[in-house]
Amino acid sequence: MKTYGRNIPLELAEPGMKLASNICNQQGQVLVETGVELSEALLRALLKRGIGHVTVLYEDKRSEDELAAERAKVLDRLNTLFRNAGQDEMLDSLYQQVLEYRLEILA
Amino acid sequence: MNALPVKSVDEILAAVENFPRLPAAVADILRTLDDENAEVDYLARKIQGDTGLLADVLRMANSPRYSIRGGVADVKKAVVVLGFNAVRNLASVVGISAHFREAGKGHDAFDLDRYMQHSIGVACCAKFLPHKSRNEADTAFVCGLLHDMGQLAIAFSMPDEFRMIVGYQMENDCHFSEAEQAVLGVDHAWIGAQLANRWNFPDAICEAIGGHHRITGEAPSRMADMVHVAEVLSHALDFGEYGEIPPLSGDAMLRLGLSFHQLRPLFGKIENEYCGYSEMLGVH
Repeated sequence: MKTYGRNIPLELAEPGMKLASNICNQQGQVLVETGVELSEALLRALLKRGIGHVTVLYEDKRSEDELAAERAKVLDRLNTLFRNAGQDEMLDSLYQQVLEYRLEILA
Repeated sequence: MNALPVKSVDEILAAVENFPRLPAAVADILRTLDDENAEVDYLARKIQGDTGLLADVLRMANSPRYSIRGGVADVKKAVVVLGFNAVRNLASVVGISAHFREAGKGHDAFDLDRYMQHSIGVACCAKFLPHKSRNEADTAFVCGLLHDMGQLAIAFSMPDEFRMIVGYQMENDCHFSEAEQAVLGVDHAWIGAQLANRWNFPDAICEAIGGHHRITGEAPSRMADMVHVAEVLSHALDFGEYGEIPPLSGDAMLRLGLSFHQLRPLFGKIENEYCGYSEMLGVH
Protein backbone atom coordinates (compact mmCIF):
# COMPACT_ATOMS: atom_id res chain seq x y z
CA MET A 1 0.00 0.00 0.00
CA LYS A 2 1.32 3.46 -0.87
CA THR A 3 1.60 6.04 1.85
CA TYR A 4 1.79 9.81 1.85
CA GLY A 5 2.37 12.50 4.47
CA ARG A 6 -0.40 14.87 5.45
CA ASN A 7 -0.19 17.89 7.72
CA ILE A 8 -3.10 17.86 10.18
CA PRO A 9 -4.07 19.83 13.31
CA LEU A 10 -2.88 18.06 16.45
CA GLU A 11 -6.42 17.44 17.69
CA LEU A 12 -7.14 15.30 14.62
CA ALA A 13 -4.04 13.15 15.28
CA GLU A 14 -4.79 9.78 16.86
CA PRO A 15 -2.73 7.21 18.73
CA GLY A 16 -1.30 4.68 16.29
CA MET A 17 -0.62 7.21 13.51
CA LYS A 18 3.00 7.44 12.35
CA LEU A 19 4.94 10.66 11.81
CA ALA A 20 5.86 11.47 8.21
CA SER A 21 8.21 14.27 9.23
CA ASN A 22 10.09 15.45 12.32
CA ILE A 23 8.28 17.54 14.91
CA CYS A 24 10.38 20.58 15.74
CA ASN A 25 9.99 23.37 18.26
CA GLN A 26 10.02 27.02 17.23
CA GLN A 27 13.82 27.08 17.48
CA GLY A 28 13.99 24.26 14.92
CA GLN A 29 15.17 21.60 17.39
CA VAL A 30 13.80 18.15 16.67
CA LEU A 31 11.40 17.03 19.42
CA VAL A 32 10.16 13.79 17.83
CA GLU A 33 11.64 12.06 14.81
CA THR A 34 10.02 10.84 11.58
CA GLY A 35 8.61 7.33 11.80
CA VAL A 36 7.67 7.47 15.50
CA GLU A 37 4.20 6.14 16.28
CA LEU A 38 1.98 8.56 18.17
CA SER A 39 0.73 7.42 21.60
CA GLU A 40 -1.76 9.01 24.03
CA ALA A 41 1.12 10.17 26.22
CA LEU A 42 3.05 11.64 23.30
CA LEU A 43 -0.03 13.50 22.03
CA ARG A 44 -0.56 14.99 25.51
CA ALA A 45 3.09 16.05 25.64
CA LEU A 46 2.85 17.71 22.20
CA LEU A 47 -0.30 19.56 23.26
CA LYS A 48 1.54 20.87 26.34
CA ARG A 49 4.41 22.03 24.15
CA GLY A 50 1.97 24.06 22.05
CA ILE A 51 2.52 22.03 18.86
CA GLY A 52 -0.36 22.95 16.51
CA HIS A 53 0.13 20.65 13.52
CA VAL A 54 1.82 17.32 12.82
CA THR A 55 2.54 15.53 9.54
CA VAL A 56 1.39 11.93 9.69
CA LEU A 57 1.47 9.01 7.26
CA TYR A 58 -1.73 8.08 5.50
CA GLU A 59 -2.29 4.99 3.45
CA ASP A 60 -3.39 5.58 -0.08
CA LYS A 61 -6.23 3.15 -0.64
CA ARG A 62 -6.68 3.97 -4.32
CA SER A 63 -6.11 1.27 -6.92
CA GLU A 64 -3.50 1.58 -9.68
CA ASP A 65 -6.27 2.44 -12.16
CA GLU A 66 -7.66 5.16 -9.92
CA LEU A 67 -4.18 6.62 -9.47
CA ALA A 68 -3.62 6.61 -13.22
CA ALA A 69 -6.92 8.46 -13.69
CA GLU A 70 -5.84 11.01 -11.05
CA ARG A 71 -2.51 11.52 -12.82
CA ALA A 72 -4.31 12.11 -16.11
CA LYS A 73 -6.56 14.67 -14.38
CA VAL A 74 -3.55 16.52 -12.96
CA LEU A 75 -1.92 16.68 -16.37
CA ASP A 76 -5.13 17.83 -18.00
CA ARG A 77 -5.64 20.61 -15.47
CA LEU A 78 -2.06 21.86 -15.76
CA ASN A 79 -2.35 21.94 -19.54
CA THR A 80 -5.49 24.04 -19.19
CA LEU A 81 -3.82 26.42 -16.73
CA PHE A 82 -0.77 26.86 -18.98
CA ARG A 83 -2.69 26.93 -22.29
CA ASN A 84 -1.71 30.54 -23.06
CA ALA A 85 1.81 30.36 -21.60
CA GLY A 86 3.51 30.05 -24.99
CA GLN A 87 7.24 29.42 -25.24
CA ASP A 88 8.66 30.66 -21.97
CA GLU A 89 11.56 28.94 -20.29
CA MET A 90 10.58 29.98 -16.77
CA LEU A 91 6.92 29.07 -17.19
CA ASP A 92 8.05 25.71 -18.60
CA SER A 93 10.06 25.22 -15.44
CA LEU A 94 7.08 26.21 -13.27
CA TYR A 95 4.90 23.73 -15.17
CA GLN A 96 7.47 20.96 -14.62
CA GLN A 97 7.90 21.70 -10.91
CA VAL A 98 4.15 21.78 -10.23
CA LEU A 99 3.64 18.62 -12.28
CA GLU A 100 6.33 16.76 -10.32
CA TYR A 101 4.90 18.07 -7.06
CA ARG A 102 1.38 16.91 -7.96
CA LEU A 103 2.51 13.53 -9.28
CA GLU A 104 4.69 12.79 -6.27
CA ILE A 105 1.84 11.44 -4.17
CA LEU A 106 0.19 9.74 -7.15
CA ALA A 107 3.28 7.84 -8.32
CA MET B 1 -19.63 46.93 -25.60
CA ASN B 2 -20.62 50.51 -26.44
CA ALA B 3 -23.71 50.60 -24.27
CA LEU B 4 -21.95 52.66 -21.57
CA PRO B 5 -20.43 56.11 -21.95
CA VAL B 6 -16.64 55.83 -21.57
CA LYS B 7 -15.44 57.24 -18.25
CA SER B 8 -12.53 59.67 -18.05
CA VAL B 9 -9.70 59.00 -15.60
CA ASP B 10 -11.10 61.70 -13.30
CA GLU B 11 -14.54 60.10 -13.38
CA ILE B 12 -13.01 56.72 -12.56
CA LEU B 13 -11.08 58.22 -9.65
CA ALA B 14 -14.19 59.98 -8.38
CA ALA B 15 -16.18 56.75 -8.63
CA VAL B 16 -13.71 54.63 -6.66
CA GLU B 17 -13.61 57.32 -3.97
CA ASN B 18 -16.88 55.72 -2.83
CA PHE B 19 -15.09 52.46 -2.08
CA PRO B 20 -15.09 52.23 1.72
CA ARG B 21 -11.79 52.79 3.50
CA LEU B 22 -10.20 50.09 5.59
CA PRO B 23 -11.11 50.62 9.26
CA ALA B 24 -8.62 53.01 10.89
CA ALA B 25 -7.31 50.36 13.30
CA VAL B 26 -6.47 47.97 10.46
CA ALA B 27 -4.80 50.71 8.41
CA ASP B 28 -2.74 51.76 11.46
CA ILE B 29 -1.62 48.16 11.94
CA LEU B 30 -0.55 47.95 8.28
CA ARG B 31 1.48 51.13 8.74
CA THR B 32 3.58 49.39 11.41
CA LEU B 33 5.02 47.24 8.59
CA ASP B 34 7.11 50.28 7.78
CA ASP B 35 8.56 50.38 11.26
CA GLU B 36 11.16 47.82 12.37
CA ASN B 37 10.67 49.05 15.95
CA ALA B 38 6.89 48.67 16.10
CA GLU B 39 5.85 47.82 19.63
CA VAL B 40 3.57 45.24 21.14
CA ASP B 41 1.76 47.91 23.17
CA TYR B 42 0.85 49.83 20.04
CA LEU B 43 -0.40 46.72 18.25
CA ALA B 44 -2.42 45.62 21.30
CA ARG B 45 -3.92 49.10 21.68
CA LYS B 46 -4.96 49.21 18.02
CA ILE B 47 -6.62 45.78 18.16
CA GLN B 48 -8.33 46.49 21.48
CA GLY B 49 -9.59 49.85 20.21
CA ASP B 50 -11.71 48.16 17.55
CA THR B 51 -14.29 45.87 19.15
CA GLY B 52 -15.00 43.90 15.99
CA LEU B 53 -11.33 43.39 15.23
CA LEU B 54 -10.59 42.39 18.83
CA ALA B 55 -13.36 39.79 18.83
CA ASP B 56 -12.21 38.37 15.47
CA VAL B 57 -8.54 38.25 16.45
CA LEU B 58 -9.27 36.46 19.74
CA ARG B 59 -11.68 34.05 18.05
CA MET B 60 -9.05 33.16 15.45
CA ALA B 61 -6.22 32.99 18.00
CA ASN B 62 -8.32 30.43 19.86
CA SER B 63 -9.15 28.42 16.72
CA PRO B 64 -7.72 24.93 16.18
CA ARG B 65 -5.17 26.39 13.76
CA TYR B 66 -3.12 27.66 16.69
CA SER B 67 -4.30 25.19 19.34
CA ILE B 68 -3.12 27.30 22.27
CA ARG B 69 -3.43 25.33 25.48
CA GLY B 70 -5.96 26.99 27.78
CA GLY B 71 -6.73 29.56 25.09
CA VAL B 72 -5.95 33.30 25.17
CA ALA B 73 -8.30 35.94 26.52
CA ASP B 74 -6.34 39.06 25.58
CA VAL B 75 -4.10 40.36 22.84
CA LYS B 76 -0.93 40.59 24.94
CA LYS B 77 -1.19 36.94 25.95
CA ALA B 78 -1.66 36.07 22.27
CA VAL B 79 1.54 37.99 21.46
CA VAL B 80 3.42 36.12 24.20
CA VAL B 81 2.29 32.75 22.84
CA LEU B 82 2.22 33.35 19.08
CA GLY B 83 4.72 36.19 18.69
CA PHE B 84 4.34 39.78 17.50
CA ASN B 85 4.54 38.97 13.77
CA ALA B 86 1.94 36.19 13.92
CA VAL B 87 -0.54 38.39 15.80
CA ARG B 88 0.03 41.30 13.43
CA ASN B 89 -0.55 38.98 10.44
CA LEU B 90 -3.65 37.62 12.11
CA ALA B 91 -5.03 41.12 12.75
CA SER B 92 -4.23 42.09 9.14
CA VAL B 93 -5.86 39.06 7.59
CA VAL B 94 -9.04 39.16 9.70
CA GLY B 95 -9.34 42.95 9.40
CA ILE B 96 -8.82 42.98 5.64
CA SER B 97 -11.07 39.99 4.93
CA ALA B 98 -13.90 41.37 7.08
CA HIS B 99 -13.62 44.64 5.15
CA PHE B 100 -13.62 42.88 1.78
CA ARG B 101 -16.64 40.80 2.78
CA GLU B 102 -18.57 43.91 3.75
CA ALA B 103 -17.61 45.79 0.57
CA GLY B 104 -18.27 42.79 -1.71
CA LYS B 105 -21.76 42.08 -0.34
CA GLY B 106 -24.56 42.31 -2.88
CA HIS B 107 -22.36 42.67 -5.97
CA ASP B 108 -23.55 39.66 -7.90
CA ALA B 109 -21.03 39.82 -10.73
CA PHE B 110 -18.19 39.73 -8.21
CA ASP B 111 -17.24 36.27 -6.95
CA LEU B 112 -16.19 37.21 -3.43
CA ASP B 113 -15.18 33.75 -2.27
CA ARG B 114 -12.95 33.22 -5.25
CA TYR B 115 -11.45 36.67 -4.78
CA MET B 116 -10.71 35.82 -1.14
CA GLN B 117 -9.17 32.48 -2.14
CA HIS B 118 -6.97 34.24 -4.66
CA SER B 119 -5.91 36.99 -2.23
CA ILE B 120 -5.07 34.45 0.48
CA GLY B 121 -3.28 32.26 -2.07
CA VAL B 122 -1.06 35.10 -3.29
CA ALA B 123 -0.44 36.21 0.31
CA CYS B 124 0.73 32.71 1.28
CA CYS B 125 2.98 32.38 -1.79
CA ALA B 126 4.46 35.85 -1.18
CA LYS B 127 5.09 35.07 2.48
CA PHE B 128 7.17 31.98 1.67
CA LEU B 129 9.41 33.51 -0.99
CA PRO B 130 12.94 34.05 0.36
CA HIS B 131 12.97 37.29 2.38
CA LYS B 132 15.58 39.57 3.87
CA SER B 133 13.72 40.03 7.15
CA ARG B 134 10.57 39.08 9.08
CA ASN B 135 9.17 42.51 8.31
CA GLU B 136 9.63 41.92 4.61
CA ALA B 137 7.86 38.55 4.86
CA ASP B 138 4.94 40.16 6.74
CA THR B 139 4.76 43.02 4.23
CA ALA B 140 4.74 40.53 1.36
CA PHE B 141 1.88 38.64 3.03
CA VAL B 142 -0.21 41.81 3.44
CA CYS B 143 0.61 42.95 -0.12
CA GLY B 144 -0.66 39.60 -1.35
CA LEU B 145 -3.91 40.13 0.54
CA LEU B 146 -4.38 43.63 -0.88
CA HIS B 147 -2.85 43.35 -4.36
CA ASP B 148 -6.15 43.01 -6.25
CA MET B 149 -8.27 45.35 -4.13
CA GLY B 150 -8.66 47.54 -7.22
CA GLN B 151 -10.86 44.78 -8.69
CA LEU B 152 -13.18 44.92 -5.71
CA ALA B 153 -13.20 48.72 -5.92
CA ILE B 154 -14.29 48.52 -9.57
CA ALA B 155 -17.04 45.99 -8.76
CA PHE B 156 -18.20 48.16 -5.87
CA SER B 157 -18.16 51.58 -7.47
CA MET B 158 -18.66 50.79 -11.19
CA PRO B 159 -20.78 47.62 -11.26
CA ASP B 160 -21.92 48.09 -14.88
CA GLU B 161 -18.36 48.48 -16.14
CA PHE B 162 -17.33 45.52 -14.00
CA ARG B 163 -19.91 43.29 -15.71
CA MET B 164 -18.60 44.44 -19.08
CA ILE B 165 -15.03 43.61 -18.05
CA VAL B 166 -16.08 40.11 -16.98
CA GLY B 167 -17.90 39.67 -20.30
CA TYR B 168 -14.93 40.93 -22.31
CA GLN B 169 -12.59 38.56 -20.52
CA MET B 170 -14.85 35.56 -21.15
CA GLU B 171 -15.25 36.45 -24.80
CA ASN B 172 -11.56 36.97 -25.43
CA ASP B 173 -10.06 34.40 -23.00
CA CYS B 174 -7.64 37.13 -21.93
CA HIS B 175 -6.15 38.27 -18.65
CA PHE B 176 -8.39 40.41 -16.43
CA SER B 177 -6.09 43.45 -16.72
CA GLU B 178 -6.38 43.36 -20.48
CA ALA B 179 -10.18 43.36 -20.23
CA GLU B 180 -10.04 46.27 -17.77
CA GLN B 181 -7.79 48.24 -20.10
CA ALA B 182 -10.22 47.62 -22.96
CA VAL B 183 -13.28 48.76 -20.97
CA LEU B 184 -11.85 51.42 -18.62
CA GLY B 185 -8.48 52.36 -20.09
CA VAL B 186 -6.85 51.62 -16.71
CA ASP B 187 -6.53 48.39 -14.73
CA HIS B 188 -7.14 47.24 -11.14
CA ALA B 189 -3.44 47.54 -10.27
CA TRP B 190 -3.49 51.24 -11.07
CA ILE B 191 -6.81 51.83 -9.28
CA GLY B 192 -5.65 49.85 -6.23
CA ALA B 193 -2.45 51.88 -6.01
CA GLN B 194 -4.42 55.15 -6.19
CA LEU B 195 -6.55 54.01 -3.26
CA ALA B 196 -3.56 52.72 -1.27
CA ASN B 197 -1.81 56.07 -1.74
CA ARG B 198 -4.87 58.00 -0.62
CA TRP B 199 -5.14 55.79 2.43
CA ASN B 200 -1.50 56.52 3.32
CA PHE B 201 -0.36 52.92 3.18
CA PRO B 202 3.40 52.35 3.40
CA ASP B 203 5.15 52.99 0.06
CA ALA B 204 6.11 49.31 -0.28
CA ILE B 205 2.42 48.32 -0.26
CA CYS B 206 1.34 51.05 -2.71
CA GLU B 207 4.13 50.10 -5.11
CA ALA B 208 3.39 46.40 -4.88
CA ILE B 209 -0.32 46.93 -5.62
CA GLY B 210 0.48 49.26 -8.53
CA GLY B 211 3.34 47.25 -10.02
CA HIS B 212 2.28 43.63 -9.68
CA HIS B 213 1.30 43.27 -13.35
CA ARG B 214 4.03 45.46 -14.84
CA ILE B 215 6.09 43.08 -16.91
CA THR B 216 7.69 45.45 -19.37
CA GLY B 217 9.27 48.89 -19.13
CA GLU B 218 10.52 50.45 -15.94
CA ALA B 219 11.40 47.92 -13.23
CA PRO B 220 8.88 47.93 -10.38
CA SER B 221 9.89 47.70 -6.72
CA ARG B 222 11.19 44.54 -5.05
CA MET B 223 7.84 44.05 -3.30
CA ALA B 224 5.95 44.43 -6.60
CA ASP B 225 8.25 41.78 -8.11
CA MET B 226 7.48 39.48 -5.20
CA VAL B 227 3.72 39.88 -5.50
CA HIS B 228 4.01 39.39 -9.26
CA VAL B 229 5.88 36.09 -8.88
CA ALA B 230 3.62 35.03 -5.99
CA GLU B 231 0.55 35.62 -8.16
CA VAL B 232 1.88 33.48 -11.01
CA LEU B 233 2.79 30.74 -8.53
CA SER B 234 -0.61 30.91 -6.86
CA HIS B 235 -2.32 30.41 -10.23
CA ALA B 236 -0.02 27.48 -11.01
CA LEU B 237 -0.97 25.91 -7.66
CA ASP B 238 -4.59 26.57 -8.69
CA PHE B 239 -5.64 28.55 -5.62
CA GLY B 240 -9.07 29.96 -6.39
CA GLU B 241 -9.22 27.87 -9.58
CA TYR B 242 -9.05 30.85 -11.91
CA GLY B 243 -7.99 28.64 -14.75
CA GLU B 244 -5.13 30.55 -16.29
CA ILE B 245 -1.52 31.45 -15.58
CA PRO B 246 -0.95 35.19 -16.11
CA PRO B 247 2.12 36.35 -18.06
CA LEU B 248 5.34 36.05 -16.05
CA SER B 249 8.13 38.60 -16.00
CA GLY B 250 11.42 36.73 -16.33
CA ASP B 251 13.12 39.96 -15.27
CA ALA B 252 11.25 39.92 -11.94
CA MET B 253 12.52 36.38 -11.31
CA LEU B 254 16.08 37.44 -12.17
CA ARG B 255 15.93 40.57 -10.01
CA LEU B 256 14.78 38.45 -7.07
CA GLY B 257 17.36 35.78 -7.91
CA LEU B 258 14.67 33.08 -7.96
CA SER B 259 14.06 29.89 -9.91
CA PHE B 260 10.98 27.67 -9.63
CA HIS B 261 13.24 24.70 -9.08
CA GLN B 262 14.47 26.42 -5.93
CA LEU B 263 10.89 27.21 -4.82
CA ARG B 264 9.64 23.65 -5.37
CA PRO B 265 10.35 22.44 -1.77
CA LEU B 266 8.09 25.28 -0.53
CA PHE B 267 4.97 24.17 -2.46
CA GLY B 268 3.79 21.86 0.33
CA LYS B 269 4.27 24.51 3.02
CA ILE B 270 2.47 27.09 0.90
CA GLU B 271 -0.48 24.76 0.35
CA ASN B 272 -0.70 23.98 4.05
CA GLU B 273 -0.65 27.67 4.92
CA TYR B 274 -3.29 28.40 2.29
CA CYS B 275 -5.56 25.62 3.57
CA GLY B 276 -5.07 26.80 7.17
CA TYR B 277 -6.07 30.40 6.44
CA SER B 278 -8.95 29.42 4.15
CA GLU B 279 -10.35 27.11 6.79
CA MET B 280 -9.88 29.67 9.56
CA LEU B 281 -11.62 32.41 7.54
CA GLY B 282 -14.35 30.11 6.22
CA VAL B 283 -13.43 30.71 2.58
CA HIS B 284 -14.45 27.87 0.30
